[in-house]
Amino acid sequence: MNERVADFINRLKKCLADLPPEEIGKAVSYYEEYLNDACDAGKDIDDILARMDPPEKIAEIIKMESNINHAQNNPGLRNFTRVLQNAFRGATRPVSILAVSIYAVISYSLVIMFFAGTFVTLLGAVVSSLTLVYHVFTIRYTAEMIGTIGIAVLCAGVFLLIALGLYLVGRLLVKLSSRTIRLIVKKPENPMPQLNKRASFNYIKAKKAAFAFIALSLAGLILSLVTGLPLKYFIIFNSMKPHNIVMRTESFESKDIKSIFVTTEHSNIRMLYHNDDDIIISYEQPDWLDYNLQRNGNTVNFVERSNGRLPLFELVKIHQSATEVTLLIPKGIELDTVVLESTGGYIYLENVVENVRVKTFTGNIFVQTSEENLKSETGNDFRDKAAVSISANTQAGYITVNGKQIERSSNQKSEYSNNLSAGKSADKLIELTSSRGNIRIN
Amino acid sequence: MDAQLKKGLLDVCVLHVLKKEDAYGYKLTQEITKILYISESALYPVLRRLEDQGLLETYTAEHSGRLRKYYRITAAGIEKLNELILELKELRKVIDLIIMDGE
Repeated sequence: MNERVADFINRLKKCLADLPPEEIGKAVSYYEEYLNDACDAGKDIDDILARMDPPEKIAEIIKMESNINHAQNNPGLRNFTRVLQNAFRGATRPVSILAVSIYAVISYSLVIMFFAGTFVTLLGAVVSSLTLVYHVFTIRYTAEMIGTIGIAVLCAGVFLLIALGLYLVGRLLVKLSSRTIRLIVKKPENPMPQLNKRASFNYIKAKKAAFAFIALSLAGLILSLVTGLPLKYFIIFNSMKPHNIVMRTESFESKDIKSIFVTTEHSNIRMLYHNDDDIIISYEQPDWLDYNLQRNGNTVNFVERSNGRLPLFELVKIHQSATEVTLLIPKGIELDTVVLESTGGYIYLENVVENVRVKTFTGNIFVQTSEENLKSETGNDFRDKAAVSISANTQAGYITVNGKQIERSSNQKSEYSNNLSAGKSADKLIELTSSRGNIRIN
Repeated sequence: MDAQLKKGLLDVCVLHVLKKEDAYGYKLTQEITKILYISESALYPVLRRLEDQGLLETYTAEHSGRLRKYYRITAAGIEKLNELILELKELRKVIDLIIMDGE
């Protein structure tokens, strides 16, 4: 082979270096074969070489074609990046460089946005379904388990559908942008419409995927609807009204009782005096809460907790609920201890003068201690002992006394302590503790 | 001839020549040069692209001790050629009108 031919081929190889080896091989063998055939045909090789474009220019056209075709057939981010890189190399006139720059910035950021969106929604599909499926193991009721799995499937389906949509738009954008870049940088290669077999194949695949995802979402939706779980969530999260309430009332003779313990996760607790002789505990029970009311010697123990029918991250626990446990106490009986605890419910003490320990996590505490009210109760021996100390403390909430908010101490806690009977020794103590709830004393 | 116009016609020329007979790079260039002037090196990117679009396919055959790559038109290529010819016919009407008006 002639030295100039070897030089031509080497330069071509060098210029094509960043293409796939297969692509370089094809181009090089074409031009080798071409020059050999020209020799065989008796042409002067130098003459032919002179009439050929320089290898650099040939390579540029091949690369541009290869990148754009590649990006159009396989519109991913990397291929699009190659097209843009080459577009800058290919653009020669200042106008086209400017146009390419502006176009590249806009289309590239859009494409990245869509592909990033695809990635994020895919991640969302995985995370949401895994979280829900993990949650299934904490549920004790079959219908709720199936319902939760249904919701997980629905979430995955919808997320996948969104991801597919974003992905397709991203790919379409790459295709259109590649074509536009070709128009900006070069004169149009083929102004007539192109037949693209592979693109239509992709379209069919995308359509199949879309159908699959829609089917998945529908299956999830049906699965969860059948179990009635969405309806239940709807009722609870939208109206916050308890569902299927049954009133439970039990009374205890007050002379037998010395201590009362009430613990709830969800329901409010209200404690007040009444004119009856018995201690009455009445409870509005919704179908997703269980309770246990027991008398043990002179102790009454009431415990309420979620029965697992409302599994969604136990959100319900921290919601204010309209269901309530009411503790009615006859005036003047001697109780040693009353302990009222609620995780998420509110606790109300209405003019109570007893030894009470109140504790909440997120629920608020309301205490009404109207001295006027207490004083008017003449003829009742408890009036003379109407001495109650209140001590309140909350970690993250605030305390209000008679409408005035107590300043936080330096360690971010809010604390309050007062002897309402001013001067008298307090023999009854109300202790209020809350982690996150507010305390209001009037 | 205007480069843009020529590039549009090049695809039709290649498909047209290959419809009659399979050909290798050098021969194809010679055939096309008879119809349309192109540089000696210009055909490869066009062939590569048409192959990518599934309008052409290649095969190798031995010729006097070397391997030669032959290009053959595919069914999709023939379909495409017919489409392009229809468009050219329409184009001819426009051209005829303009030229007649010009004369």
